[in-house]
Amino acid sequence: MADAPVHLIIDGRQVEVPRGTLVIEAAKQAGIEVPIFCYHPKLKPVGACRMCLVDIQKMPRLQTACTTPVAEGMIVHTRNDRARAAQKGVIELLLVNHPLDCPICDKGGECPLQDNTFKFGLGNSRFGEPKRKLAKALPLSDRVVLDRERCIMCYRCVRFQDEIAGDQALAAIDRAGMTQIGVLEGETFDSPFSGNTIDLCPVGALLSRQYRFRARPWDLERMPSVCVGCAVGCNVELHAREQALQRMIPRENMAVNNEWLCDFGRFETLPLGIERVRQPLVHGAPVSWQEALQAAADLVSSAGWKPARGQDGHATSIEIVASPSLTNEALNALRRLAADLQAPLGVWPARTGRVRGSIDDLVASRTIILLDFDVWTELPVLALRIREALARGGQLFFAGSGANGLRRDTAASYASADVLAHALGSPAGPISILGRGADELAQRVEATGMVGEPATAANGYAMADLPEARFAPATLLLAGNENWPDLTGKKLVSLRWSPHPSPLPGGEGIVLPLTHPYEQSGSVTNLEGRVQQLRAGGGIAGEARPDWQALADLARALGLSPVEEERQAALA
Amino acid sequence: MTAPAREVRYQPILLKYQGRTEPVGLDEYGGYTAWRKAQDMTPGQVVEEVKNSNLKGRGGAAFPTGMKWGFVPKVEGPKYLTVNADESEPGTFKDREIMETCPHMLIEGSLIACYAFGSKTAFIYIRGEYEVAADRLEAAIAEARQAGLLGDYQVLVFRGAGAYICGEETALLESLEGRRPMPRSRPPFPAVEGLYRRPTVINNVETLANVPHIINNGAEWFKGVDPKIFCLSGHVNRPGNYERPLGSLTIRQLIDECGGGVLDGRQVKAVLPAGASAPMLTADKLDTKLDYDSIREAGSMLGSASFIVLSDAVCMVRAAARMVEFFRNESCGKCTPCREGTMWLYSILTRLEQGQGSETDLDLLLSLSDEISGKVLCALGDFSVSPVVSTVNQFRDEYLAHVREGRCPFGSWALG
Repeated sequence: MADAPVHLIIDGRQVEVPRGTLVIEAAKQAGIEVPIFCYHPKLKPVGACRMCLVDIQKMPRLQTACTTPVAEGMIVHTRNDRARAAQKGVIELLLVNHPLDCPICDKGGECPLQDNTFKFGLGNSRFGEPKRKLAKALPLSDRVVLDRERCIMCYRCVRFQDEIAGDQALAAIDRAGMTQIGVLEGETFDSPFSGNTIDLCPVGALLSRQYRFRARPWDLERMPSVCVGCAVGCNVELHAREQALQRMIPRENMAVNNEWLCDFGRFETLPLGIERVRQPLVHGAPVSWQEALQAAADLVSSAGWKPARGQDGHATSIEIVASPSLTNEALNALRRLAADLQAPLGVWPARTGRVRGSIDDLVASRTIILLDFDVWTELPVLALRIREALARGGQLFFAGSGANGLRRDTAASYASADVLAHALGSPAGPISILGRGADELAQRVEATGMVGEPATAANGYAMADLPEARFAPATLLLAGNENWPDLTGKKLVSLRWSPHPSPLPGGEGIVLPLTHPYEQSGSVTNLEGRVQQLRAGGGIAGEARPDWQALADLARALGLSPVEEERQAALA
Repeated sequence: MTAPAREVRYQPILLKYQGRTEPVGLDEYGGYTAWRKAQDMTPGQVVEEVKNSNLKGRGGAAFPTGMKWGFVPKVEGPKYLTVNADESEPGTFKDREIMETCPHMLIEGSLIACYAFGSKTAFIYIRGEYEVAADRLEAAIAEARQAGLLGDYQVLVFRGAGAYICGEETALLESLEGRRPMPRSRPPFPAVEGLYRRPTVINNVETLANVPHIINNGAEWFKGVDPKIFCLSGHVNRPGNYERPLGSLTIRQLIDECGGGVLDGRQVKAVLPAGASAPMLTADKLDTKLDYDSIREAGSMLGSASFIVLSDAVCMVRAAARMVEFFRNESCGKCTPCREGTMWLYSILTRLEQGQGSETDLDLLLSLSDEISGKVLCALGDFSVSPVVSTVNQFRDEYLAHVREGRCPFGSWALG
């Protein structure tokens, strides 16, 4: 039975909240803003910055709203003279050693320290002493740079790495006024989640080396989209300046990524500083779309039209290969094309799969079993969601000899699924099992959570029914930006958005330029089967076309009807 | 004028072996009679006895010890006693003498405390600089174990690394757990959720050293004696630890009779009753009795009873600056007001001391002190403004003289 709710009065407003709620959250519910720096709803409260001091009746000292739980009949003043004076005092003290170099700071314009100073600060300073000086722009890693002068010691970054990522990559060094954020001797800030500390930093202390000095927040156009780094499908916001993508930050979606994003997704999937295919190519020579489509149609026709048939009735002279990161719309176009040409359709790399159960089910699990599945590397943010389950009292077990990035959090490891099943007997439910052989084990232990071998590529769920491509026929239609295997001697039609990293031996074939997934609309299906929408966050490079559009154009050049085109155009 | 002579010379109880250069062994100490006696009582009876004795925590906060033990919930699973032997308040050196001369007294007191609230483990967190005391404690623990006195109890010595903040009980727990010592938010209080998130009592060394005597002689006896060690230092002829019953003498008697008067025959300008942490008392308060209530009424705190005497040769601006410098260095860096405020206070004070200040700086000092005091997580921040507020209020003329003359009237760096 749930506890009776607690009633309190904040700034004269009646508030009803569940027992155990913090005053800061109760105030938020009542629409009252209490200024904060160290407090973050996703991190354990520490009461360090003292920004949220409020006056609670019957308590002699001011209390931090972020650490004080509500009590029945409590009367809280967040804006009376006492509270305001204390809040002004904290802002004044935070600023004494802050360099106030907002004009050259990336955070300027989206900086809680600026905002709180305007809303809750003094407006002037009584500080006339020399400020603390430290070397600026200290690289913590290849991705993150630290300005210790700007740091206000909220410890959000340290707490994130400790509580959420679990790798304790950052620490506070030295003490008193010289306390600094840093990495301990002999350690490096190589956490796969380091980028989140940039989002969490309430000042311009932790900054992205990729984004530094590239834009001002007020010049950015923001578009909600989905990360295509892996099959988790983290919800993101794409930020572009003058049509050029600049950065990507996570959006909260409790059913998917909470509010986290891994570094691979954040930094590596953005098309920044990457060579692009801007124009159709035929044997290396730039041509118009019309010419390229005609050449492609000729090639496909000669191979696939009235072709030789194998036993399954499929063409033996052509194969269509889909990247598992293509949109559902492109996939549909490919399926249609394959049916019309009666050509085999395969996927490569086969980072596909299906699970039953949702990410919610996984987070609610009491027992999670990884069957030789390195979720930390393959689906990084899913590893954080597993850590959430563990924080709620769940237990993690691992079977196999492969890598296990969650080793620190693993209750026990076993040589094989058999040994594990024997040792665990009937573990506490709900149970989730990920990896090869999950379904068999699930039957033995009656697992009702997330079960199966998940897809790892962005749209691998939608392609779980496709066979792995064999690359056997002489003519190949390659759709997607993959690093294809050696295709010496093949005739190729390749649809991609960046040049193949090594020149394809048959690469003097036909190349149709695609937009990057962050420059087009479309949908992808994440590992739990959730269909999520991509939106164009940046301008299109050259003459590139969205994957589904390019495939429709190709179908039309072949004299086929691109049934999906109109619906897709409407979607765009 | 002489104070009335006491009829019988007081026999120290806690510092019975004061002056010994070797620690007292188990045989001479007397073989843990109180520990044996306590085990024949119920834990509840032990708590009651200590409650009735009115023993108050000697670490500074003077919280009733028996009541503290009584707060520990009667739950299953481990509970811990943590002995605060971090003794790091400037001018405090009483626990050291207890541990160096008679480590068994602390160990016996710790065992009785453990028994009283259901702990099997006592951690003695001792400041790293106390190497001799730590060695002697370890030897005494081994001796007691050899003699079969520990039974299934464990007493462990943990050496700190030299941070003032580790005297703050929740920072101490963090350090004991292997983390950076930063105070925790309360609630939860350590009695409910302390070391390793288990119910924990944190007692000062001197507090626990009293416990065997209470069990041996009874609460009524203790109330009649109430022994307290006063650490006397600064400008006196004979600095040192002086054990006397609480309330049995005045500050003046402590300085003159125990300390042999002020150094160089000078006058007292101020006395710090609790190291650097409590407001200083001016010379007109010298006839204040040495007990918790009288010192509070005089406007300060007895705290750890570390009396630092400042003679009239001392520049109070410099003294304030030096004390704030201490807090500036020892702030853990967690709370904004303490971390930034102590740095700023120190800058202003050094500027004033060098004759570069102005009268408005005095208002700024008080206003800043108000931005720190009561706005921080632990007592360090509150303590850090004591020397500022009490000197600005009580020695304003000295500050103004610095401003007026553009230099220190005492000659710079008068204190050292």
